Amino acid sequence: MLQTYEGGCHCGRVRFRIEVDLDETPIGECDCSICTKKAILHLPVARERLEILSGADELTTYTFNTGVAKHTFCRHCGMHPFYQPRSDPENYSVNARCLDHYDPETMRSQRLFEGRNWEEAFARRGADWAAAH
Amino acid sequence: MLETREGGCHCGRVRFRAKVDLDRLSQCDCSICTKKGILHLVTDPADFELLKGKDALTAYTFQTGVAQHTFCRHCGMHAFYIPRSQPHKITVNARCLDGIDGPSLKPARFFGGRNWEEAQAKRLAEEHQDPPDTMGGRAGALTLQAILDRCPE
Repeated sequence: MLQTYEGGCHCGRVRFRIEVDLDETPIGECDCSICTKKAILHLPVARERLEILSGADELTTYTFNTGVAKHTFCRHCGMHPFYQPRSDPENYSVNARCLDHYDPETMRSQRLFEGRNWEEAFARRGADWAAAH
Repeated sequence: MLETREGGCHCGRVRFRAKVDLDRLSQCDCSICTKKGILHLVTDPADFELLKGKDALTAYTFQTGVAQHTFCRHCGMHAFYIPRSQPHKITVNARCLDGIDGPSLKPARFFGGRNWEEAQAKRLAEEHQDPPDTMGGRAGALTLQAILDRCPE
């Protein structure tokens, strides 16, 4: 069932609200160079189901390689609450760690995207990796 | 086992070399460590060298202001920081070591930073340490400044 969750960066400037069905949307992790460093726990969310409540102007966007992914972070505290992934750039990947009610016991990674070999991983991924529209 | 490793942010502007012991990998459940997902490796300043990136680094502070949460202003990575619990030391983020496999990193130790005072008291007892001198709250900032001052670029 679709439910509403809020979250944000650490200093409080960037806040967002999402609608997602956590039962139908497994949280994933990725072993690529940047996801390893970011420690992001990916929760795919459709573009229209993420609302930036505040702080859009506080975000810095980092890009590399193909430049498709938009790695956004709060320029004040450095947190990465959400970004637009290369694998689905029209939508968002929310960092479950930045949800207000993040629970490390129940919000564990349930699948691995082997982004270190990105093309292979992308070809192999299930359709469930894309945000539910 | 202590080993010398290099690491850095993602864009390459911040680089460091440090002696770290991956068997002492630690995790913390406080508000900021949770969001960062950082895996802690505490190092002595004598065993840590910032090779480059002093102009790329910015530091975020909150609450007591002792901890210096440094990150690269260009790519947002938190390669290391100065922790509140040991403001005379440096915590390397194991995720930012070169050649590391993130999903296989398993922390052996846990700091219950959500209840910080309690966690700190427990750690000090276990490690037979006295509480650190925060130098009027400036200890973390001074440790960071010393690292930056030694950095060649």
